[in-house]
Amino acid sequence: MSVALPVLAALLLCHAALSSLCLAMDRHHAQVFGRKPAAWLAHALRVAGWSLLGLALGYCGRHWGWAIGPVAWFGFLSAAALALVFALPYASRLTGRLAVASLAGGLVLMFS
Amino acid sequence: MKSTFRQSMAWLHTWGGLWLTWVLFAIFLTGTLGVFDDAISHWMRDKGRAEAAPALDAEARAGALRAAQAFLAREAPQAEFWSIGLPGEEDPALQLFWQRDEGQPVENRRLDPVSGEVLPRSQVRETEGGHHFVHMHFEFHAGKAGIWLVGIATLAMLVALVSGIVVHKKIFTDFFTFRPGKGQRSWLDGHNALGVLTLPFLFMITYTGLIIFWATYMPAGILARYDGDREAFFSALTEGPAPRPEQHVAATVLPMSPLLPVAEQALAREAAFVVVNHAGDRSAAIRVFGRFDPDADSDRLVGRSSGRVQFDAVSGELLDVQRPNTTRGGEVLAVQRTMNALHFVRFGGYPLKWLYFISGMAGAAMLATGAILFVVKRRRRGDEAFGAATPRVMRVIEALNVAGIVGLGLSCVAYLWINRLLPLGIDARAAWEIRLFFAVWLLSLLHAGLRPPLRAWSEQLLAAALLCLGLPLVNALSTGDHLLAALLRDDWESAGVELTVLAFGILFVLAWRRLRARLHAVAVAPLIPGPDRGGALT
Repeated sequence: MSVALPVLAALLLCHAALSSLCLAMDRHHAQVFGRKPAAWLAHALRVAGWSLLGLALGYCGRHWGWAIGPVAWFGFLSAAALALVFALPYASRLTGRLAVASLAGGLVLMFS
Repeated sequence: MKSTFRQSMAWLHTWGGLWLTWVLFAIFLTGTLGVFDDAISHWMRDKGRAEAAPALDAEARAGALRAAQAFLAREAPQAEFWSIGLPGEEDPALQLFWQRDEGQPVENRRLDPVSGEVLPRSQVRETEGGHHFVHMHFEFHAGKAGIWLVGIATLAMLVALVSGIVVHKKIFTDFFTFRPGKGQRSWLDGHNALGVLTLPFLFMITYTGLIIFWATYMPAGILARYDGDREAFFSALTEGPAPRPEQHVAATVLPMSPLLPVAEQALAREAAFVVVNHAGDRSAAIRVFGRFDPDADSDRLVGRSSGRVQFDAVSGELLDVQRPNTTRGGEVLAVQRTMNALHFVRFGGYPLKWLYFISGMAGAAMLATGAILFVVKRRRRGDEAFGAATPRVMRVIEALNVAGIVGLGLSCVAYLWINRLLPLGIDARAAWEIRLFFAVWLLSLLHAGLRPPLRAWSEQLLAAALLCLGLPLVNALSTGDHLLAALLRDDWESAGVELTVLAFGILFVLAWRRLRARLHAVAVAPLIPGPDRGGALT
């Protein structure tokens, strides 16, 4: 398997996870969708975000081993977070769609 | 005294951070470039088009070693050390280094491995390559003094990280927050986001950076128990061979080539280089180092090494074998070695290197935004922190910001230009490259001191952008090699260097355009009230 696929999978999973956590916050949800999230939605997004973070960690651990996996996971988290935060004000409307695309892409690559 | 804990931490963060920002920025930027030191060296030595050297069999390696020893025994029979780089993929020639006596310059030559003839210097692009950035990173090319400066700055970095977390009131509320186009607010957002989002990396890289030099930074134990003799301490700790101080009894180094197969068998891999300490003295020892194998055990964090074998250079007695990818010296040293590996990203291959590169650049950007924020904030408030001297001190800080941030970036890419433009075959070419790097940096400081701050930023950004975007051109003109050719032959090291430099060129252009728009706005709207708008970076 090419080395690029697991990298992309981990990066997309981290991006989906962080986007989810970001969109669970009132300020950013309003920034993207123009209104605050309902309580149940915010809760669901938080649960999804934390679960995806765990999933990404598991994936990194499985792929790079449990010595290097967590180091890689932190690296992917930082890279994905930087991309998310610095894209958010410039392309806020896209954030929701990008998160869904990352989730779909990450899951497909993970199980491919 | 400041009234609350948070206020005192804010004071500590600002003033503790400020005076070492430029040192730390240089450490972060050059260290991050150093992640790819091999690729940079590959580009700088113009290795892309060199034909892959045919692998040498054991007999040819022994022959090469014979030729090297014959040359060194003739040239420097008494020497502090000989170092013999055996031909390999990177260089099909023998690379010899030697130092006649302690404190004397290290001399070097390349030899034909078969005939033993000295190869003319003009054929090679003699350079420190990407190693220059690594040396900048941990010692500023200043030896012990540099290591201590870096150590002090690293401690300050840890203090700034902790105090920064205390000062940052809303880490979780503002976790994803960046509000561009709002002047001081945006600089603060950027500084916070860059720091918070890479915090695990920043703590890890800063702390492990200190731990690498623990024996230097915390010498008390070795001073007390071993009279400061580090060699003796480490040899006792790792149960390695005893140190071999010079005996001042003349003795000839025995023919080394028969030892080579012994060493290679003990290491179970090919030898890469051979070092002889105190050649010509009874205390001489031969150390044979294995070739580094980036794929072996690359999924492990601990103790990745190439292995080495030590012989008595006069009797040929086998003194010690350290097999590749093993550690000695107990749990504590194993932990320390793990931290080294974490710092040097000696694992995980290119994906991990890129993650380190991204996080490292974010760290450098965090330092840069912090330094800029300091100026922006005080310009707006018309702060009088330094009393009557305030305008002059602020002027110095702004000049240091320009030279320390964009000026250093400019010097780094200029170093690559110098490598291509400096004539081949001149004496001490590698040293001249580095001297000229510092000369460019000094010029940038001079320029920053003479021009109004905003102008200095804009002009140096433009210069850096042009140097970055022009690099593929100067490479094509000087060596005939170019990006497309590199891509076509699958040479991702050469292509990667140029593509990365081009990406930085685009970033510099974008920054320059933003700044020019601002300069323009200032020029056409002089009526906007505020202290000295033309000189302030907001």
